[in-house]
Amino acid sequence: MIAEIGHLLLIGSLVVSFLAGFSPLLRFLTKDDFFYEVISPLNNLVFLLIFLSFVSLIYSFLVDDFSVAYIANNSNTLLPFYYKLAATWGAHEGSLLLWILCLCFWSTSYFFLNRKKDVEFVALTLSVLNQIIFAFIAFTLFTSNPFERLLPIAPFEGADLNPLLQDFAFTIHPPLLYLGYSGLAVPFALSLSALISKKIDSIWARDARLWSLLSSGFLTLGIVLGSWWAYYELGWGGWWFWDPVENAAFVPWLISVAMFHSLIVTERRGLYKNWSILLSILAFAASILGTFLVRSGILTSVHAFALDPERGVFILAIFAYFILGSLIFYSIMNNKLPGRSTYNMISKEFGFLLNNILLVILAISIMFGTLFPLIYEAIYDGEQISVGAPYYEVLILPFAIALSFLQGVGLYLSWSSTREFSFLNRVLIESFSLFIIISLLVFLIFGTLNWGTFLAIAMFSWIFSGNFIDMVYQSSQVKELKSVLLRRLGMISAHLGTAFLILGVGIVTTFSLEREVILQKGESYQLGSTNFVFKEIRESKGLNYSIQSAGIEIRKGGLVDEISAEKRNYLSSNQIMTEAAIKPTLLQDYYVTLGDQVGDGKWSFKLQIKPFIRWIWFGAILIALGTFVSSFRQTKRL
Amino acid sequence: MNRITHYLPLIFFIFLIIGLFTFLDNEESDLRSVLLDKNFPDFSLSKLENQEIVTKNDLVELPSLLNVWATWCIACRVEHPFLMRLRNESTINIYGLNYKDDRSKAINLLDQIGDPYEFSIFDHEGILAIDLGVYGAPETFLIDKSGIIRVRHVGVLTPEVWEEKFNGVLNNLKEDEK
Amino acid sequence: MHPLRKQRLYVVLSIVLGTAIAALLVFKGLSENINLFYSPSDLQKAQINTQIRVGGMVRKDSIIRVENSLRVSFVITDFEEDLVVNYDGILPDLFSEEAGIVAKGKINEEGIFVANEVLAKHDENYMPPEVAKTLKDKK
Repeated sequence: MIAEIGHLLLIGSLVVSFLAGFSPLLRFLTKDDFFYEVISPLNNLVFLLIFLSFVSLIYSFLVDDFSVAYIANNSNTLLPFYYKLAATWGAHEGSLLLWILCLCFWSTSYFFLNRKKDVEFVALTLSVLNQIIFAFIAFTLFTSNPFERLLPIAPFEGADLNPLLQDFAFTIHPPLLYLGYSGLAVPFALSLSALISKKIDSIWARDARLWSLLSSGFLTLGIVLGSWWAYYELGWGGWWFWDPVENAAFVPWLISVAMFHSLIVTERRGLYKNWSILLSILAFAASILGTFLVRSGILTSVHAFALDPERGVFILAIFAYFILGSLIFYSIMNNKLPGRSTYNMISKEFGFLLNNILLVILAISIMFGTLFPLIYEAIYDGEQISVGAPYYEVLILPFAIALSFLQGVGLYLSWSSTREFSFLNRVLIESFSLFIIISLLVFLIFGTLNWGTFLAIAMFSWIFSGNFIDMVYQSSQVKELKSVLLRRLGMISAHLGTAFLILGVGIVTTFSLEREVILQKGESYQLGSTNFVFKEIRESKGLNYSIQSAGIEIRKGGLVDEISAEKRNYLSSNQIMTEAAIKPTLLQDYYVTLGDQVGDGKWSFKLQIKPFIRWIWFGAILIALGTFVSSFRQTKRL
Repeated sequence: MNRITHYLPLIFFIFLIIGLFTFLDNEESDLRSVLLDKNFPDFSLSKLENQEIVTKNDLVELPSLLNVWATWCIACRVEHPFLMRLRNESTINIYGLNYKDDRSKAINLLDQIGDPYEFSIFDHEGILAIDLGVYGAPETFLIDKSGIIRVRHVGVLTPEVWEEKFNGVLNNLKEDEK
Repeated sequence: MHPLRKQRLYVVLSIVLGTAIAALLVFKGLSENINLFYSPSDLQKAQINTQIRVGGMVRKDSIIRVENSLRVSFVITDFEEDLVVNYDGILPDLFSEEAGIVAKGKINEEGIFVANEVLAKHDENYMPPEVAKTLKDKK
């Protein structure tokens, strides 16, 4: 019953979003402003309808309504209620509804923050957003309806939620990620609005920057959660696999970063309008392309939603409509800028331009690597390949170096032309000292160094001095600069985050240790300077699984801790999952996975030590924090 | 100069979209074209209901449908009532292919909801399924009097799909016989 | 040179330089890191002692573990040819008889595949698309 209501609400929202999306056409034909004014209330109605529809889906999950095919496929009476809630977005159909809900959230937020603004501009932006909403609702209703029924005989019991998804991090990972993906629609809509109404100015840039910061921040969080989840759930100790689905999130992220940087220049100097508009279109394009890759089944991946070439066609059509449509507007509406200001090569403008170029080229190269297996298969008639991780690792290194360099000096470049270069001396000296200190520390801890670590430490030191040390030094010289520090808090946090991230990546890549061993009960193994002792095997039961767990003691000098590595047998699907035992400390993670019983009382284990790995996510969270702080400051200026 | 650079992104994306479309198209026709108008493959597997071995020669009631199903396939439950109807109205004979399933669970399910099949082939390893190019369940094939596969449908068999894809071909086959 | 011209020059130079470096890395990276995929019957095409991927279904009753070690061998098949795979390490959770798997490694002189990584994905009823495709293509 409730599921029926949910279905009807979805149909209703299809109609209303269509009206909201295409109302400007009527305004164009009749010249009646009513057709602009009506868009906002229609938009808010869509949000309400979608929200209620989503709630009815959740409700149906919680009451085990297995007459709904989607629920029967993804839930189970034994499932704890919080995972029934999570199962709502655990598979393709429901996750689409969540995506749409997120987009509606953004469009309504946009409305609330812009109530007293230019009617035409707001109306156009909302209508573009609603066209997108309409397209996705249509896609959901016609190809992936979560409310489809299994009548007349409903199963008594559902299949189960995939055990891999029965996990906290993976529960909040989609909402965060979708907020990021869908959020990129707002700068996109703003650009189209600006192109059509010919209002490409600093007000538009300021608005667009707010929304690109917000989406970027959520994308950052979503990606971090995904990485952290993969690390502890998949049991191999890896935290990034250059999997198509990961790349599908990383590429829009890179472009969103380029976008909000470019918008700074547009807002302050009126330059790079074309770049900013193009970047907003590119970012949204990357977001939808990502959706397409993950849901059309053309790429293999650890967690592709799979399925249907038919669905792929639909998404591709949506992609074509919005991206080609917007690019046509972009190409035709040639904006003659009122005189171009020139700038020197050593200037903020040029720095930002290089930043744009580097990020976009990197993003395209990553996307190319991701799509290459398809191209290869098409050319070589069905031969399948995969592009290995080293491709991406080698690719990203020079870009990381160049971008780090820019990050360190960017603050000190002036608009138009930089004349004061004393900063260079200071930053060089500070970063060099930092570099020596850290290198020494790393050498003390790990005993060796190589050029890879040197590079990571160098980049870290450079960014840290450029953004923090030197800033502090400057603010101590002149009183007002303290407020400058505060104003730049978001940026400093984000840039420092990048530094920590790079350091973490460099160290964990160089100094990780791993070994697969067989241990008898009571036996121990020495990995590096750490002793792992296999104490015992215990059997127990969880809510919907049975457990075999191995107690492992970690000793380094004295006892560090005792952890348990588990193997879980999920009863309803008879699937075995390994739960790794992880002991995080400030400088490293101890990581143990339980293998199989190899003999009487003998079990196999994979032992790993991952130094500085948490610093990667710490850095990423700093980035996200910085992004949100900056966007918060932006809202105050609206 | 400026104009050209303005149009570059548009041109790039047009090519990208065409490329992706072509690729999708290939995927789709790949899915469909396998085994059409070819002989039903040979096999030697046991019946679901007992250990009796059946082969291609035991598929005698032709033309007939071959329906791929399993207890773990929820979508199969959606098409089940329609399969029952086809059987009860003697429209066409249906053989079942029980795919990668648990034998006792499968037998129990048919007891519970009804058995529309003449008999079901127990393909625990998916050997016959691979030969047929089956990706999963449900899938339905139409086999003609000579044992040639005429239609393949991936997904739920609804009355609409029956009308559009199967019934027309079935009627043509009956016409050809006369 | 006119300042505007100079500026345009720098911009174009940066773009070209950046793209050139990227292109270089892309070509180099791709040529060295394309992992070709083979099914057991395709293997005559493969080079021995080169890193490749193979896939197929694990044959029932073919898994042999060496006592007190992590060494294991099993047979994968595409229902036309079989391939013996040797692996030294802990197998993933979803590895079992009749599962579709993909392995990375090299063929040695004796025609045995020495795997350095074994991947089994998704649920028991899902077969990695590459495996399904090649198995289907055999017909």
